[in-house]
Amino acid sequence: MFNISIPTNAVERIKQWFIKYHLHLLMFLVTVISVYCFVHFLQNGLGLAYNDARSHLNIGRRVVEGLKPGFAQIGSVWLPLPHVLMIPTIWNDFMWHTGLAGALQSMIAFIATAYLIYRFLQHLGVSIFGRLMGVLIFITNINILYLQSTAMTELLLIATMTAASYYLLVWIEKQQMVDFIRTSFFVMLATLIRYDGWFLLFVTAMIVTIFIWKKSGYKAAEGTFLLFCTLGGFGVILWLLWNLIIFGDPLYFAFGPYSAHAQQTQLADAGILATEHNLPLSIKIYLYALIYNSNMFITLLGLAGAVVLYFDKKLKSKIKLGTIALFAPLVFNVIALYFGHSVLFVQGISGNSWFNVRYGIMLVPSIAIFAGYLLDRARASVRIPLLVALSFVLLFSFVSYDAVTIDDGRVGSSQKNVTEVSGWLAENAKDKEGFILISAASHDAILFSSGLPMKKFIHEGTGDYWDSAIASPDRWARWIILRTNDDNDQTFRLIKNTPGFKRYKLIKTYPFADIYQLDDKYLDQLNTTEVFPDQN
Amino acid sequence: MKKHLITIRNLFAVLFVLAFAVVALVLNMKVHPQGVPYYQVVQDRHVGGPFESSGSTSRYALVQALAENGTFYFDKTLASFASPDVGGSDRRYYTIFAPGVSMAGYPLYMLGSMFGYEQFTTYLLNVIFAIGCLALIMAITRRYGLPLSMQIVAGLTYIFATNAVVYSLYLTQHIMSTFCVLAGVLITLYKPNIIRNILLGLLFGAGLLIDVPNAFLMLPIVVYQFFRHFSVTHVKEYFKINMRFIFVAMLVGLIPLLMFFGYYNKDLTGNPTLPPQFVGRTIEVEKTVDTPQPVVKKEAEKFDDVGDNSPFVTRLMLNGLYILLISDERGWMYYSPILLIGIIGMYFVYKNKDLNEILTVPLSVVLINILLYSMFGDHWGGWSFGARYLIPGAAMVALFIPFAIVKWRKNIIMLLITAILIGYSVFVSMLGAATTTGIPPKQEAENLSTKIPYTYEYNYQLIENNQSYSLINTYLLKDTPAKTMWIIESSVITGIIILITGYYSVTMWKRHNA
Repeated sequence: MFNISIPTNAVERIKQWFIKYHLHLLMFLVTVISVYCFVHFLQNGLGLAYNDARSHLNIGRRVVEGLKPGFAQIGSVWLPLPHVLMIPTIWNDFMWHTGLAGALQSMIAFIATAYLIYRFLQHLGVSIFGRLMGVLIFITNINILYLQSTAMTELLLIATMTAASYYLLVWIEKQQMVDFIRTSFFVMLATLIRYDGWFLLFVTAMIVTIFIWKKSGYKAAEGTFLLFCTLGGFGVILWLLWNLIIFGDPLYFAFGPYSAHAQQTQLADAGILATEHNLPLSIKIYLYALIYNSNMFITLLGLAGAVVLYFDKKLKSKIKLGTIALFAPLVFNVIALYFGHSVLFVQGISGNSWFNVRYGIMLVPSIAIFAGYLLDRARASVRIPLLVALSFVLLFSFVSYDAVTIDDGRVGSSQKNVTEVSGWLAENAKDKEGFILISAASHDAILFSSGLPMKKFIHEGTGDYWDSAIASPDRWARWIILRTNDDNDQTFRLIKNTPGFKRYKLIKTYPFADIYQLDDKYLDQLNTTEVFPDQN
Repeated sequence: MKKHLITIRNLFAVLFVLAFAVVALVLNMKVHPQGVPYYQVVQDRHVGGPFESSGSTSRYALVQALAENGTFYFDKTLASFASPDVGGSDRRYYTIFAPGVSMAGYPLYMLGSMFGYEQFTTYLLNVIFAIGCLALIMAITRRYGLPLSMQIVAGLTYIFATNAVVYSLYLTQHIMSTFCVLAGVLITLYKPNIIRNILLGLLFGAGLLIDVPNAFLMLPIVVYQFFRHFSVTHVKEYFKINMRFIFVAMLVGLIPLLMFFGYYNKDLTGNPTLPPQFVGRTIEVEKTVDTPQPVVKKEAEKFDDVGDNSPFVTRLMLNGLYILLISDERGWMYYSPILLIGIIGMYFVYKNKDLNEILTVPLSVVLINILLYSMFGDHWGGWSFGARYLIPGAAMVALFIPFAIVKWRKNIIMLLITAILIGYSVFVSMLGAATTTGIPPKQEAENLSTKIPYTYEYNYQLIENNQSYSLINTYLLKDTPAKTMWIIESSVITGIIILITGYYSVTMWKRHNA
C-alpha cells in the first residue's frame, strides 16, 4: 500500500484556481486548436477546396479591388455579412489567397461558439464537468474543425444562431431588456449570413411572443413581438432594400438569375431535385447529413440529452421553452429541401456524390449542449460508460479522418478543380497586357486560383467594361474563358453570335472551361488599359 | 449485493442446469448422416456441416497444422481448406485469425485423435466454453444478489435465446471471447487481490490471442479494475491518496501471453506487433479453390477513400447500428428480441440507487462492442446467423434480464410478453443451431444466381427440407423429421425457462401475500 497525503488547503487552492481559471484555459486551448487547424488545412491544400470558399473571398476582394470596386460588388447571390466582414483584411494578397480573410471570422466564430456552449450549459445549471464535455464535443468535431479553417459561412452562422439562442434563454430567465436586445441583435446578424437566420427570426419571435402571451397576455405579447422584430428583422429589411436599390427588385435575391431558386429550377428540370415535395426523403437526407456531420453516437447522446432535458421535472418549463430555438436549423433545412429551395446530396442516397452536405453541421452546437446536459445529469454508473464510449468514438473519428465536409470539398460536387485553367492563365496571361473576359457567376474559382489581380478580369460586375466586352469582345478581351456551347455560361450566351468572337482561337479545352485567345493580328485594336475611371 | 447460501438443493439445481445445457448443445453438434467419423476424414464444406464457414475451417486448419505438422503454417491442402481466410505467400500460408481458439482446441484434437474423433472433440471446445459462460452468468448474477431461479434464467436465456447457441457448435472466436469478458466482469465484483489481478491479466492476454478486437472489449474491465486500486480519503487536514501496487500483478498475467503473441506474429508476419488479421487475405489461395462464400462488399467502399487508415470508420455507424440492432438481416431485435428485456432491466438497475453501480462495467463493454462493430466495414460478419460480433455484448445484456423479471414479478402482462419474447428468441436461435450459420447479407442474397432468403427464413427452408446435420437428427433420432425435433427441443428449453420464471414469480407472490 502506498499513500500520498496532500494538505486539504493545497487541494482547495488548486480547486479554486481551476474554478477561477478553467474557462480561460479552455478558451486558450480552443484558440490554439483553431489556429493549428487553419494552418493544417492551409498546408494540405484543403482550406480552399470548396468552390464557394473561393467565391466568397472573391466577392470580398471585388469590393476593394477590380475594374469596378465598391459595395455593389457584394451582389445578391449570398447574404452580405460574411463579405462585409472580410473587407478590412481582404485587400491584402496574403489574406486573400490563403483564405485567411474569410477563415478569420470562422475561427473567431468557432471560439465564440465554444464559449457560448459553455455559457448555455452553465445557464441550464450544468456542472463544470458537463459544460466542458459539451465544449469538448463541439471542438472535437472534425467537420467543425475543417469548416472553421475555411472562408465558408457556416461557423459564423452557427455562432450568431447559438448566441441568439443563448441570449433568448437568458432573457426568458431574467427578463432584462439588454438580453432581449442582444437576442434580436444576433438574430439580425444571422439573417444577414444565411437564410437559416430568417427562420430563426420566425422561431425566436414565436418563442418570445408565446412566453410573453402566457405571462402578460395578448397586448403585451403583440408589443413585444413588434419590438423584437424591429431589430431582429432589420437585416431582412436592409437586404430587401439593397436588392431594390441595386437590382431594382426587392426579391431579386430570391428569383434573380443567380439565385438559389434559379439553380434549383435547373436541377429540378434535370430531374435531380429529388427532395422537392417529398417530405420523407427531405427528412431522411437531412438526418443523414446531420448524422454524418455530427457522428452517429454523439447524435444519439444529444437526442437522449434532449429527452432528459424536456422530461427533467426540476427544470422550469420556461427554460425548456427557451431551448426550442436550438432545433430551428433542423426544421428549416427540412422545409427548404421539401420546397426545393435547397439542394443536398448524400453519397449512397442521392447517387454517388456529395453536395452541400455541410448543411447538416448546423445542429452540432445543439447536440453538444444536449449531450453535455446528459453527461451531467447521468449517474456515474452510466456516465462512465458513456464517457468511455465517447472517447472511443472520438478516437476512431480522428484515426479514420472521417469528415464528410472534407469529402464534399475534395471529391464531391462542392469542389471544383480548376487548376488546369487557372494554371494556364497564371503562366500565360500574367505578364502580358490585356483583359480576360469571364463570367464570375460560372467561374469564380478560376479567378481566384489564377492568382491574377481582380483588375485583370472583365466579369458581370464590371459595368461598362462588361457591357462593352460582350458587344465587341475582340476590342476588350485578349482571352475569353467560357464553357463552349453552354448557354448557362453568361459569356458564351452573350457573345456567341458576335462577329468579334470569330476572331478568337480555341487554345485549350478543360473539364470546367475552354480558353480562347484573340488572334495576334487583332491585337493592335485591343484596349488593354482602364478607360472607365468614373466607375470606381 | 446479497449473498445466497449454497444448499444441497441449489447445488443439484445448478448441476442439473449445466447438465441439461451440455446435452442440449451436444445434441446439436454437427455429425454427418454417414456417422461421426465422416468429418474426421472428409473436409466437406457443405451447408450445415461443421466446415461450412471459413471462420471455423481456418481455425481448424491451424489445429491440424499444429497437431499433425507441429507448425503454424499450412500446406497447400490445408490452405485451400482454410480459404479465403488465409494469409501469407510463397507456399507459406497461415490463418489470418489470432491463434487462441486453435491453441485451445489442440488438446481436444489430440484427445479425440486417440479414438479417431478429432474433429468432433475439437468442436466440443465452444460447447465447453458455452457451459463456462452459463456458469459465469449464474455466478455474476449471484453476486448481484439475484436468487438461483433468476440466475438460471439469465444463463439459459443467454445460451439458448441468442445466437450464442449457434456459435457454440462451431470453431469461431465468439464464445471464448464472451467467456473472457464474463470472467473479467466476475473478477471486478470481488475485492482485488494478487491472484485475481493475475487472472485478469491472463484473461486480457487470452482475449487478445482469441481475437484482436477483444482488447477493446476487455479494456473497460481492466481500466475499471486498475482504478479500484486507488482510493481517496479525507483525514483531518489532509487528502490521503491510497494506492495498492498489486495492480502490477495484472501485467504478470498479461506479459507471458503478449510475448507469445509477439513471437507468433513475428514468425508469421515478420513483425511482433503485426497480427496476421491486419495483413489480410492472400489472393493466391483464393484462386486455387472454389470459394463457397462470396466475400461481402464492404460498407466502407460506398464512400470515397474512407477507411484507408483504419478498419473502423465512424461514418459507418449509422448503417452499422441499424444492421446490428434492428434489421431483419442480423439485428438483435429480429433474432433475439428478449435482449430488449435485458436493456429494460439495465434501466431498472440504473434507477435503483443501491444497485446502479453494477451497471458500469457491463454497460461499458456492451457499448464498446456495439460501437466497435457498427464502425466495422462488414457489419454482417459475412455469411452468418444473427449479429455474431455482438455475442459478448448479448451476454452483458442478458445479465440484466432477471432485473426486469424481478421488477415485473406481479405484472402478468409484462411477464407474458417476456415469456413470448423468450419463446420467439429460443425458437429462432435453435433454428440456427439445427441448420446453418450461412445466411448471406441482403445485398449478396439478391445477387445470387440461386436466390436464398437473407433472414432466418433460409434456416426455416432448410429444416422444412429436413436438412439438418445436428447429432440428434442425423444419428440419434434420424427417423424423426428435423422440424419436429427443432420444435420439441425449442419447446423444452422455452418451457424450462418459463417454468423457472413462473416458479420465481409465484414464490414471490406467495411470500408477499403471506
